[in-house]
Amino acid sequence: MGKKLLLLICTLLLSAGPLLAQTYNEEAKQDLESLKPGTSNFLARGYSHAGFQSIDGNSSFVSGQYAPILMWKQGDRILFESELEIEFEGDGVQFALEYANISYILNDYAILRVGNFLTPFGAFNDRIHPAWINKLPTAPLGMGHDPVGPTNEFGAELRGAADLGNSKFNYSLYLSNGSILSVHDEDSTSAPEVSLSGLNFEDNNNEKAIGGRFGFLPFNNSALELGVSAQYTSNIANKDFDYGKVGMLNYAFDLSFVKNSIQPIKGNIDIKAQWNQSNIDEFELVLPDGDELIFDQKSSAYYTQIAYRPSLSSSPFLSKLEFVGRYSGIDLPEASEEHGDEPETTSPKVSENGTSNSLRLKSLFTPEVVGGGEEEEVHNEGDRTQIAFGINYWISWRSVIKFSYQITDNNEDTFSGMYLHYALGF
Amino acid sequence: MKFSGISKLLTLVILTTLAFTTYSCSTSKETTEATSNDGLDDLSFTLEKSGAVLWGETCGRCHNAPDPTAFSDRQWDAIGSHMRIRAGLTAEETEKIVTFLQQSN
Ligand code: HEC
Repeated sequence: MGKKLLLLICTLLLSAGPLLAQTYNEEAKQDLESLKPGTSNFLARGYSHAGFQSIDGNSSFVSGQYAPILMWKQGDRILFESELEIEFEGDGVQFALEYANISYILNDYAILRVGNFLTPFGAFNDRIHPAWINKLPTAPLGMGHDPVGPTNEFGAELRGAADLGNSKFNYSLYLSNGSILSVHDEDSTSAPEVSLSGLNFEDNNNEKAIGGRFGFLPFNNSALELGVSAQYTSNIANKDFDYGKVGMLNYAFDLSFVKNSIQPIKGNIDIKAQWNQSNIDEFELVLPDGDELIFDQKSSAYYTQIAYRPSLSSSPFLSKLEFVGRYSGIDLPEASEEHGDEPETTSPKVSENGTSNSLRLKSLFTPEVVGGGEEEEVHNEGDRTQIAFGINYWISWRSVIKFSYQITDNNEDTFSGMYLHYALGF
Repeated sequence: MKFSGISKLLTLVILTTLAFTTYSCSTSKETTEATSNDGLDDLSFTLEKSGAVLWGETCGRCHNAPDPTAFSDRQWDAIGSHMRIRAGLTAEETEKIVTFLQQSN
């Protein structure tokens, strides 16, 4: 009897092990299941636009760009996001990786993001530039293909949002490689080419850029958001740059006010505004013939836009229309007064006596760096202002036919542009 | 010269915004009074906002608010996280909106 009991206990104990293991396995399996590629959430999305435009008398059909977006959410905390941008440019096709980054949700208030991300500098760059979001076919001056301020970062960022009583705020704080200042032909007697690029995937020096944006939504209906952004780098020049360190400070202010279904005006109002300022420390280059070049780069860009959509109109056609007006401007460093014998206005001027001399350069940000892919009408330098009007017809929440007319003024001439574009988010 | 133009512009923007916010605040107060007759103060009212209301207020700030039927439950889950990160939304509002979208698609 005692033997039988012992045997029974042993059998029970032996079978309990696998049973326990099985329960444990079920849990682990479920955990693992959520990590398998087939069970984590993969999303392929993107946007495109195409159309017809006439700029200063030259008309053309255009097929803007195709921007596939791939996202992969793994478990509850990890999100990978990436965007490719494929565009016709010049004689060929330009292929760019607009961003690719991994986010890890730390808790309700903080997310860690690493990789290449769109700079949270103002709001246009990372929140409004896609063709199906931007209400006009072109980007505001200085915010699209000719930007004042950074557009992409290679770095690490902490971002998040929280309630603050009836208000809300969101924040981003990052460290990144910052921009690169490149000086070519430094040893020839001809004026050197100076360019600034955000594609700094292997930093050219040890100084990192520090930056961030703070957004405040004072009202509990989230209609208004005010944002302040800044980015500072103590050096954007190469480590071995002969002329010392060149610092850069960028800052921006943005505003967004959106209120939908307002009864008295039977529709939606959308106001956006932004101001970007970019200041690069003054630096000088000495040419072999002893002449000095002094670079002084302070640029700004701004825009304000208002849109009205009679969404509550009883006419189904009218309710899909949207009217947009935008005023934008860009102020690039001025050419110095006395440049009579300089045939090329875009190259830096040589100051014979070495005194401070404001110089006019090509726009420092190279077009490749920019998000958006929406062509600006005029690419020449100097101060410009632009006024644009548009009428949109919304076929669905992410597909729109945009018609717009804009006039750009560079203080000497005016250029007009007419656009008929179809933009689709998918 | 330039600056006077810009400051005029900014003044215009600020004034228009103020006009609309005053209006929008007064409307949201009305809603508060109408709904929170059980002694809830403004703060708890904020917390009580439903996913549907939050969807209307939040998802249309940058682009048109997407229709709940546009995506499946799984897709809404990924999009919710994407928007929370990209658009700086709070964890709580994102969760409520995603639940609403998943229930209404
Ligand atoms: C602060 C601006 C902003 C707000 C607020 C916002 N979005 Fe977005 N949304 C974007 C941007 C920018 C993109 C495009 C992302 C890209 O192309 O890189 C986008 C894209 C999307 C897409 C396309 C798929 C994707 O994930 O890219 C969906 C769907 C979407 N948003 C839904 C929502 C919903 C639902 C809400 C409300 C919870 C919301 N959005 C709030 C800015 C915003």
